[in-house]
Amino acid sequence: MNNNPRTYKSPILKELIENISPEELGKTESKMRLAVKIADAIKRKGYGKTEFARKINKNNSEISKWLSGTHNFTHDTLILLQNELDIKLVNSEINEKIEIKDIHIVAETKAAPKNNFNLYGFFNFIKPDYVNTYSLSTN
Amino acid sequence: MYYCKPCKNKLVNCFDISLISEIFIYINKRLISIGKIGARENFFRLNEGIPGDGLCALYDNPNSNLRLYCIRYGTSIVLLGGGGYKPKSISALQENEKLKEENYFLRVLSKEIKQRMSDKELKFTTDYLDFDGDINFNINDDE
Repeated sequence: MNNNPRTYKSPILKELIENISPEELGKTESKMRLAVKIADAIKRKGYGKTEFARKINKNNSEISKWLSGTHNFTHDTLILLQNELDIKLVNSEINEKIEIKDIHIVAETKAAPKNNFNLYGFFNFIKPDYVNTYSLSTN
Repeated sequence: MYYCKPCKNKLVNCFDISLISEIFIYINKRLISIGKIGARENFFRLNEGIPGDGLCALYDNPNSNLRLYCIRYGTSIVLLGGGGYKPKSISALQENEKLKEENYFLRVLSKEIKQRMSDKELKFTTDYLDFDGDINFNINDDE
């Protein structure tokens, strides 16, 4: 007996899947990952679903909806969950520092020497505020 | 096959293909994501069958009231079955012939799988990502 399952690939389904944009897929995946994060935090805190619903004055069905990965959370709900579960769901930091570790500028010139020239003067290079450290190299 | 809310006919008879595409795309996006994240319990409406048979339904768009029945084996294996539209007017799936048919088919399949595992004809692979053994079923046979 052949134990292998028959594989059938529907051309219509294939086309539908191919037409899903990475952005759309990303939105769905993000919602589901968020739900997992919340579900894990509820578990970590030692609550059952019903117990948690009672604690935050919500219906059990609403918690199920949140955890189903289909829900489009409002900012208020995320803040509520963040505070109740001690997890980070919203990043509202304004002065977040971006660390750029390496900047390579390749300058080709006949007039200036290859090494030891003043790149600031040459390019009027202004260090952006969000760059903490940088290095320049010439090849 | 999905059913039209107002007239309870097959959706394909009532709406254009774009609506059906929308439903399939939504479900597919969820399934693709499950493939990456894992079939977490909270993604499914549990206890849609009898105790212990693993029958559940995939949560989809909150307002669509669709039921896509599945059998879930941990977070790694999900057998997708059929489903349909569950009108608000009914509380039990048995009140809708289509839902009943799809659901009961999976109940029988789950029982068969359990039996084959018990008979050592079927087992999980060592990584629990698939089945190993005889996975050909003919539910209508008396075997």
